[in-house]
Amino acid sequence: MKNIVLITSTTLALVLSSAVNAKDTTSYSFAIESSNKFVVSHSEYVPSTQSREYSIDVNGQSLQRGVSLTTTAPGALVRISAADGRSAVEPQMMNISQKGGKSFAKGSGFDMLVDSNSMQAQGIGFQRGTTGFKIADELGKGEFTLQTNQKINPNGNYRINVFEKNSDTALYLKSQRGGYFKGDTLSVDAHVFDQGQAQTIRNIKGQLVSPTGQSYPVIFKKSGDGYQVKMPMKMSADNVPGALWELHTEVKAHVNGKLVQRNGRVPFSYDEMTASVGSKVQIVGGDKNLKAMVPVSVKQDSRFEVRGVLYGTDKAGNMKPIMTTHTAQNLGRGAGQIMMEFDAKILANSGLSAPYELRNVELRDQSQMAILK
Amino acid sequence: MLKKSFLNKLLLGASLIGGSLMAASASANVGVAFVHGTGQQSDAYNDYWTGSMIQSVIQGLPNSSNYTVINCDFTQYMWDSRASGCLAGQLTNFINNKGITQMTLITHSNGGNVVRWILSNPTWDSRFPNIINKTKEVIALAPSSGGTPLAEAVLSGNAFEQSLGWLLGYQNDAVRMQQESWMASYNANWLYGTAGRPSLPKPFVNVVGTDVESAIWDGDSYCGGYSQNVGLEFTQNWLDSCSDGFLNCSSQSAAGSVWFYDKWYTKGGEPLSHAQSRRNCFYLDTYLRNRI
Repeated sequence: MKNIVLITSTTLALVLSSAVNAKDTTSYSFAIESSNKFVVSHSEYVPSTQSREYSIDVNGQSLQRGVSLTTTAPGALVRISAADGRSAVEPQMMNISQKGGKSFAKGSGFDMLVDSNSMQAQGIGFQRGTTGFKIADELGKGEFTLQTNQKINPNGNYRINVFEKNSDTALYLKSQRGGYFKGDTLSVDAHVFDQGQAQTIRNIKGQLVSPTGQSYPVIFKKSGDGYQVKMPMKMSADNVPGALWELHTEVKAHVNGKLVQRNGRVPFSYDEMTASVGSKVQIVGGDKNLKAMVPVSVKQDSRFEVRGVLYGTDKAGNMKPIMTTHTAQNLGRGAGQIMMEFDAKILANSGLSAPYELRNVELRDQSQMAILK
Repeated sequence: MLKKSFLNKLLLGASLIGGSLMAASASANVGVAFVHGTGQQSDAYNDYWTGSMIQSVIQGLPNSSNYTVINCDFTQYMWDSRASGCLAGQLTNFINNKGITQMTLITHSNGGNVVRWILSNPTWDSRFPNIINKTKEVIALAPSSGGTPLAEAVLSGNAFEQSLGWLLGYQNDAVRMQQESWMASYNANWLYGTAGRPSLPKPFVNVVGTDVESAIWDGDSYCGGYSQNVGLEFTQNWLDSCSDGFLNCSSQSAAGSVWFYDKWYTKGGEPLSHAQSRRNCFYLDTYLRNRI
């Protein structure tokens, strides 16, 4: 694959001075091999998630007295994390008993125990003060009581997370869109399915959470066999560029006569619509200086990028992709345009000629890291 | 699928010989850069890769001094100046100081995402185009291209989330970014190379780890650190049957193309856990040496 970069003299100066970011027009093209079928999906990305886990917050006294856990499949993974990051509850000191059944002392009811030191050693980022274990498969599923004999602060706060990898019961969250702009209406559907059958949700609550952790209350309303959030997005989108917003949801559903909890999250982008691209893209110049003039209507100063795929015509008259070109430029408020310069060598090597067409045109605001079209 | 035949080994051997011949005949000033994964590194040579891994791999270079070990803050989002910006700065210095005309980037884990950010967004930073042009290929060791359910687990299970942890940044942005649901968004919108998306401008080949062995009686479990493998065996419970203890195989192969699944070519058909795929375990270093 041949790669050519076209940079202005200003940008070259920035390269030489090791500038942190591009400040002026930068353009880059890379060839699309003729063997490359360039199969690109044009369907919009729709975020959807499944959750087979839940979390409950308890204090040390509850853990000493015994905390009820409900599982819907054998082999649940349980993690307990101490809010202070220090006062771990070690699984070797934990007892588990089945409702109306046997009790298993000091970790004997677990298939795998990971104490706080081992949990830290694996290094993936579980919070310090976290321990974990897997409930032994032979204990099956149902209601359990988890209790510790360890001396811990009765007022200490702990989060218990139960992950049921093998459960048939899952919370499904689906956002109508992958990205929202200020003024749009957020739309997210929530369902609980068990073996493909919708389950009755008894309680559902949630909150919209920004990338900086700010939360906004949401209201779920019944919709078909599930629930739905419809919420106008009026809050400031001026947040952490590129970071996603999330809808956090907690449901309790009746499944086979038991109340099952699930916690889930679904992410999406939320940005300001700072510019739009016009429909009349002009391709001008000859094969040695082919350019596309892309009109951009700017509402707010920023650095914008246009990217697109240049198509040319083969001898049989078929349009085929030649190169992907990215061009970024700082634009001020008002009517402007971005001029995309296509690489003459890639064009010549393609063997394709006029008429040309620019397809898959996208406009991006690099300052807020948003895809505007 | 994972148990390839003897024929595959022959084919690989043939391709390695061919590759070496090509490299020998080329006049390019060839280099290699080692790009670490999630974390903030100040001595990745010793702390992340180990000298024995790097010294073994660079023997494949015509000039074994043409290498660099990246030390950046990959606790940040991949687009952050402390992540891809830092990487761009160190690669640019490497290219300029050594006169590199062609380089291979060997990445591990999230390092693959940071490099893919550069390859997919050439106008983001004025240094990116030259880096792309100088890149021959990316060898992505266990890349987290599709994210990992463990990132979701880390975020959902921490008591800190609702309190100070969020503000203190305990759950770093790189972990947040590598949630499967977040990477699906970035792959669909900002990164090239996954299914249904345009190809990357340069080859991006993956080495996929498929399993974790942590039997105390098995000496192979100790390559890369025994305690780390024990931890990885626990985390594997969140993952598919094919995983390296941190990433599902589907995530490791989500972008670019698969060079090999560990057991195809490793000594004794040993799997490469996530801790082992950045160390000289089971001839991994030899395969890298012969390819760069």
